[in-house]
Amino acid sequence: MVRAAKDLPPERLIQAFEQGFGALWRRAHQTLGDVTLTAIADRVIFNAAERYPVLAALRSEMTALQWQELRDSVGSTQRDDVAAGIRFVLVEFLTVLGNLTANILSPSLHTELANLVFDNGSPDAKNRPPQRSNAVRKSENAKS
Amino acid sequence: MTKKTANVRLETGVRNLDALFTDGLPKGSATIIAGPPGSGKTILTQQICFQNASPKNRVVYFSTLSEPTAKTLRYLKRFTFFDAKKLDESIKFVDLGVLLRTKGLSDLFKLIMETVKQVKPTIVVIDSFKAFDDLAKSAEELRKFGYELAVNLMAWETTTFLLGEYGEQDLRSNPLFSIVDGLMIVSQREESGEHQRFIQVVKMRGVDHSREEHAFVITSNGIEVFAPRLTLQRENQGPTTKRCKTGISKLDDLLGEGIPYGSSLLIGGVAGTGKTIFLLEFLYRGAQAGEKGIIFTFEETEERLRAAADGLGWDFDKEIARGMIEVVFIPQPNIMVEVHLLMMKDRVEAAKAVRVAVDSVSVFLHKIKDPQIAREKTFQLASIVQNNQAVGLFATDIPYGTNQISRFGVEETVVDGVILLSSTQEIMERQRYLEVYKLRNTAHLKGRHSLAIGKGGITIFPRYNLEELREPPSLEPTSRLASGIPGFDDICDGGLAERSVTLVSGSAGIGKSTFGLQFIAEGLKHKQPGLYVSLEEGSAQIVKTATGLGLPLKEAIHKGTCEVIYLSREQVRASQFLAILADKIKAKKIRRLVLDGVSHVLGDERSEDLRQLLFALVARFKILGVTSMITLEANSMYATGTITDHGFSRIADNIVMLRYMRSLAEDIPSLAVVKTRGGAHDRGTHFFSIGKGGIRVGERVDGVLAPTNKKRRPDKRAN
Repeated sequence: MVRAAKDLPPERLIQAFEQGFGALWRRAHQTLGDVTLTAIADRVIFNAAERYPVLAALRSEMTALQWQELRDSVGSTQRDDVAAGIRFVLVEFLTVLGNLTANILSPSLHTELANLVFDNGSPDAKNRPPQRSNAVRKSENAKS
Repeated sequence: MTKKTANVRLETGVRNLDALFTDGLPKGSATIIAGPPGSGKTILTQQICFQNASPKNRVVYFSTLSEPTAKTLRYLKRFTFFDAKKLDESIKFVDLGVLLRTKGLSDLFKLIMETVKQVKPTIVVIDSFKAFDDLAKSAEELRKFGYELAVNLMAWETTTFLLGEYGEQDLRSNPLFSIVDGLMIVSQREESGEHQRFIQVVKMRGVDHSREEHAFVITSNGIEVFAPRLTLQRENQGPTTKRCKTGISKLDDLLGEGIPYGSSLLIGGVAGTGKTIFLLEFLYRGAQAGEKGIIFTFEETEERLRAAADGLGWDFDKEIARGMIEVVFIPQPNIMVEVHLLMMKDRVEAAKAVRVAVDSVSVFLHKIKDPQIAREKTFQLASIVQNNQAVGLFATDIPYGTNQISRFGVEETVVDGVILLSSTQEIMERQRYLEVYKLRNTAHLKGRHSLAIGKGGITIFPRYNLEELREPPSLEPTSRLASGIPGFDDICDGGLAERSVTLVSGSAGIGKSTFGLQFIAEGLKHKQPGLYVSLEEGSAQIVKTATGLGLPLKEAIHKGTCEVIYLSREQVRASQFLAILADKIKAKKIRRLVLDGVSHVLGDERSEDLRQLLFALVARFKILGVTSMITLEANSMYATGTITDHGFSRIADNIVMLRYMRSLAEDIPSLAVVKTRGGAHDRGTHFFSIGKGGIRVGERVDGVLAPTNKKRRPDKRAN
C-alpha cells in the first residue's frame, strides 16, 4: 500500500490511506464495536498529532475517522509530513490493535490491507466510496 | 511509536501475590480492589505502583475525596517500597477532589483521559472509585462512565486499579463489577484467636487464578501474602539416593542406610520423653559433620536451649557462633501458621539448612481445630524440607493415655517416618525407649530400644541390629577351645566348640566366676583377647580374685588383651547389654567372653524378656565369632531336676551344672556337663576342687573317672 501511494499528491495520498484505514476500521469494528474502536483511534491520533501536527486535523468519531478537515488543511508543501504521519497512524493502529487483542485480529487486518485495490487517480475517484479488496469481495460474493 | 507488547504480565512486587494469578497480573487489565476502610487497599496498590514505576513506565494515581494526597504520601513514607525520587517523574498524583465537588462525571472523564494522554502511564489508579457513585445521577450514567473509562484506559494499554469501599451488595448490583476484568477483595477479621487480614481474587479474566482467601500482613516492607497452598508446593526432586546419618549414638544402626535426604520424620512422645534433646543432638551432630541446621522453637527460648545443650556437654554456642546452627524462637502466642510457614521456608533457604527441626509441630499448629488443615500444614512443612533436600524432624506431643502417634492423629500420614519416644516406670525408676515406627524406603530395625540421656547426649541401645537378622553360623564340632580348667576338657569332648555358648549354672559361691576366669586366662595363653563382664562384683574385685588364683588377668589388662568390666543394674538396663557388649567385642576383637551373674542383674525382668535377651546375646556372640560363657545363679544349692531356674537350657550349646553334693561331713562341690551341642560328653557328675590356678575337675562321683583317653582330641583344637 505504501509503495502504491509513493508518488501520489497529498490529496490522493490522503484518499488512499482513508481507503485503507476504512477497510481496517470496518474489519475491526465487527469484533470490537464503536466505543473500543473510537477509544483506540483516539489514542492513535493523539500520538500521531504529537509527532505530526498536521494530523491534528484528523478526528475520530463513533463511526470512523473523519479525514475531511485534514484534506482541507493539507497543502502540497506538507506532502512528506502527511505521508509519514499517515503511515504512522496506520502502523500505530495495527500495533495497538495487535497488543490489545493479543494479535488475534492482526492476520485478518493485514490480509485486508494487502488485498486492497487503490483508485488510480481518475478525477471522480475521490467521490467514490473506498474499494473493497478482492478478498472482501470474494467473501461477500460467497455469502450472497 | 507504540511497541509490541512482549510481556503480558505485570509483576506486582507484592510477595506471593503474583502466585494468585499464576504468574502475575495481566497487563492492561482493569481491576477493582474492594474492601472496607483500613483493610489495606491503598497500601497494596501503592506497593504495586512503586514496584513498577519508572520514567518509562509511569503511574498516574488519581485521588478522590476519600483520602487527601498529602496525607497518603506522608503515610507512605514509613514503607520501604516508598521512593520519593519516583514522585512526579515516575508517579504522578492527581487530586480529583475539587472537580468531584464542582463538576459532573463527563468532565471528570475528560480530565482523567487528558491526563492519561499527557502522561501515557502504564498504570492508572483511581482511589477511591466509589466516590463517583455519589456523583452519578443514575445507575445508567454510572455504568456508562465506568464502561467508557474502562474502555479508554484499556485502549491506552494501562493496567488500571479502581479502589473502593465496596461491599457484598455492590458485588451483586454495581454495574462496574461486570465491566472490569478483575476483582480483588481485601478484608480483616478475627480467626483462630488472631486478627488477620485476607485477600481474595474473585475474578480475573483470562487467568487461571486462585479463588481462595489468603492471609496477608502489612509490615514496613509492605504487604506479604501468604498462600502456602500455592507457594509451598512440592517440587519434583526425583528419587534421592543420598542418606543422612544422624550421628546420634546407635540411632543410625536402627535406621539402616540412614534417612533419605528430603524426608521428614515425626518425633512423637508425651512430655518428658526427650524430644527436644533429640532434636538438639540431631542438629549438633549434623553441625559437627558439616551440615547446617536450623531449629524453630515455640516454647523454649534460644537461651534455654543453649543451656540444655551445655548441660549435656555440647559446645552448642560454638556451632551457633560459626553459623552451623540457627535457633529461631517464635513465642507460642505469636504463632501465625501461614505467616510462619513462609518465614520457615525463607529461613531454611537462607540458612541452606540440611537439618531442620521443629519443636514442636503440635504447638505450631495448636490453634488449628480441623485435623485436615493440620494435615495440610504438616504436609507444607514437609514440602519445605523436601524442596530443600534437607532432613526434617518435627517433634509432636502425643496426648497422654491414647494410642495416637501424633497430636492430631493425622500428621503421620504425610511424613516419611515416625520415631516414637516413650518412658515406662520400672521398679524404682523411669526408663526411656525409642522405636522407629515408620521410615519410608528404608529397612529399619523394628521394636523398642532402650534410650538413655546423660552427659554427652543420647545413647541408644539397640535390642539387636541388622547382624542378627542373618542366621548365626553353625558350630564346627571339631574346632574346639581349651577351657583352661584341668580335667574339664576330658569330660567335654576335648573342649568347648568354637563360637559355642556355655551356660554355667551354680549356687552362690560354688565357683562359677572362677570357672569363667580360667576360661579367659586360657584364651590369653593362645592370644585370644578376652572380655569378662561382671554383673555382680566390681572389676577390681574380679581382678584381685584372678590374681589370688594365679591367673594373669592383670598383666593382660595392662597389655590391652583383656578387659574386665562391671555393669551395675543401677547404671545399665538389661535391654542395653547387647549394644554395650557388641561395641566392646568389635573394638577389642574379643574371642572369649564371660558374662558373669546374668540372673542377678536380670532378676527384675520378666522371664520372657530375659529369655529373649539371652537369645539375642547368644546370636550376637556367635555371629561375632566369640566363644562365650554365661553364668546363672541357681536357687538350689544341691542337685535338682532343674538345670537352670529360668528354663534357659535350650539357648545354650553347653550346659555345666555346679552343685553341692551332700555328705555326712560337708557339702562337696560337684560338676556335671549336662549338654554339649555337636559333641559327646561324659554324663557323670564329677567332684571338683578350687585352689591355686582355679578349679580342678576330679573323680566321678560314682568313683569311676570318665574315659578321657577315648574322647580327647587335642590335635583338633582351634587354639
